Amino acid sequence: MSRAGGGGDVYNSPTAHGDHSIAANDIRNVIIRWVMHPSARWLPLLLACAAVVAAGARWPDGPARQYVLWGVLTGLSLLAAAARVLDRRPRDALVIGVLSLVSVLATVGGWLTFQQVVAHGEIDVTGQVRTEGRQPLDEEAHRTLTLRLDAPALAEPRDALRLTLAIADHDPAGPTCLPDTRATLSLLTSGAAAQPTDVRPGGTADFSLGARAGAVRIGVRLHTARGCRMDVRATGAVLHDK
Amino acid sequence: MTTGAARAPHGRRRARRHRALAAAALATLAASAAACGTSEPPSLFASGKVSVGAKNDQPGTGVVHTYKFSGFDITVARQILASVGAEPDFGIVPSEDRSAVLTGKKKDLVVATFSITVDRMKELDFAGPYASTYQGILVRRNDHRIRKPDDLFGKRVCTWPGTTSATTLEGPEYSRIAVYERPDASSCLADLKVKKVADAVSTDQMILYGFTQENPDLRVVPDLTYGSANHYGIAMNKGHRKDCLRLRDALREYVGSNTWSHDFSTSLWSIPKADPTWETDYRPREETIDALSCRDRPSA
Repeated sequence: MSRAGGGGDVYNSPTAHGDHSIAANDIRNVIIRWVMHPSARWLPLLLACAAVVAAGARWPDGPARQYVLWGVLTGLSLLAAAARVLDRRPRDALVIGVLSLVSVLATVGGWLTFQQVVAHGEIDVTGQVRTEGRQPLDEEAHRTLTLRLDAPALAEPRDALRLTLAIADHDPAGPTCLPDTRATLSLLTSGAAAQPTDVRPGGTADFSLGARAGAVRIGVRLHTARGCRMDVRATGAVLHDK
Repeated sequence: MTTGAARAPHGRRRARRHRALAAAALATLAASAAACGTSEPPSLFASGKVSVGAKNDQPGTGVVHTYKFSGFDITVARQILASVGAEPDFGIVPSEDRSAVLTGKKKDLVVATFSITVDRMKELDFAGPYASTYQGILVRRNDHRIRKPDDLFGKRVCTWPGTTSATTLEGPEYSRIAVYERPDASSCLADLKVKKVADAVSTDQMILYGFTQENPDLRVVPDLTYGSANHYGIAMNKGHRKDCLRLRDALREYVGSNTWSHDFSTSLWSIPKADPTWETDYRPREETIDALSCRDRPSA
């Protein structure tokens, strides 16, 4: 690759030959001139910042781990763009070109990653799970509990729900029943299979939601030892795409 | 007056002394930090003698006759400690003081029909259970008024403080039972047998069957239980996890062996007589031992 220099034809490679080489050199010269232009110095940083602001405005929440790649790419784009701004040496065309390119590519990659999270990422709806039915639950009364997610929680379409269930002794001062307790969870939403799943206290069940439904209902049936009375609640509810 | 040349070596010596002092201070700090970092205190079994709190007024589980302790709790303590190379030094602990003697470091272990609960697991470590039992009802032998749960409504039922039995009968579903507390088991038995001011005594069936062994004029009402199963554990202060895990391993082996059945039926001979399925009813499962032993809360 040629070294950047002062005059207009300095960018031409001394080893280039033929029409194609001349055309390629012309294109490269145009790019390098554009990259080196004082007005282009701030462009990658502005682009990266705009992407960050746009992402912040549309932030869909959900677990932090799904934003790791976006975070890395955004950080890279901002760093490269900042380095591009700070590098004021007029002869560093190669370095400046690489920094600009890395920043722009990282910004674009970050934006695409963010769009992927927006469209298919996990959505934490734990706070929107409503519990219907009387507690505590026991084995003898054959009572069930229903966990319900209403339409507002399901605004973003996802095809599965991961539910984490906490089961605790109703009276923590009494004998504990946790080792003998489990629950069967079944999807009660019409149009989807029940998918009965046994979970231990603190366990997780994953349900395919199928077609988009107005609300999701999950029945909880407790299995425990004689005389045990337990409280059940959802400690995690995450919509996701399988 | 000293010259600059004369002061220079003196200054260097002082600097060396300061460096040496600083190094010594750093070494002391490092040693203290290392000592603080050692979370596990010396083993409870190091001396070969372990102070154990036990009950003295519960025939069959923990009782003292002519200064000698006997009962299933006592046998369990002896068996388990023997397998870790130690022997128990028993002392009497009332029910309501079982946690306090451990947190106050007056006893190393408590083996005293002490039920494992979520609340107690926050404060103490348990190795267990070594036995599981439901709460039952003890009545006078010739009193046949109480046969089913509703029969207890309006009756005076004696319990004593510091037990899960008292807690269970405090629930709203038992509000129609006239539950009252006496200081200890002996007072409740006196109320039932002698004074006849109590219609029944309620605590764990294992303890009640033990009472019937020394009080033939009393009986446990069959098939009448309250609440969930109590799981008895060997309790210790937190901070001795290695010791706790050694006890758990020894207990797991003991509970699964014929020795457990032999010891149980020897101490609590009235239970096999009354309950043909006593081994499955009172013997804990290995998974339950794993779920409740040496933890801050039960594992599922």
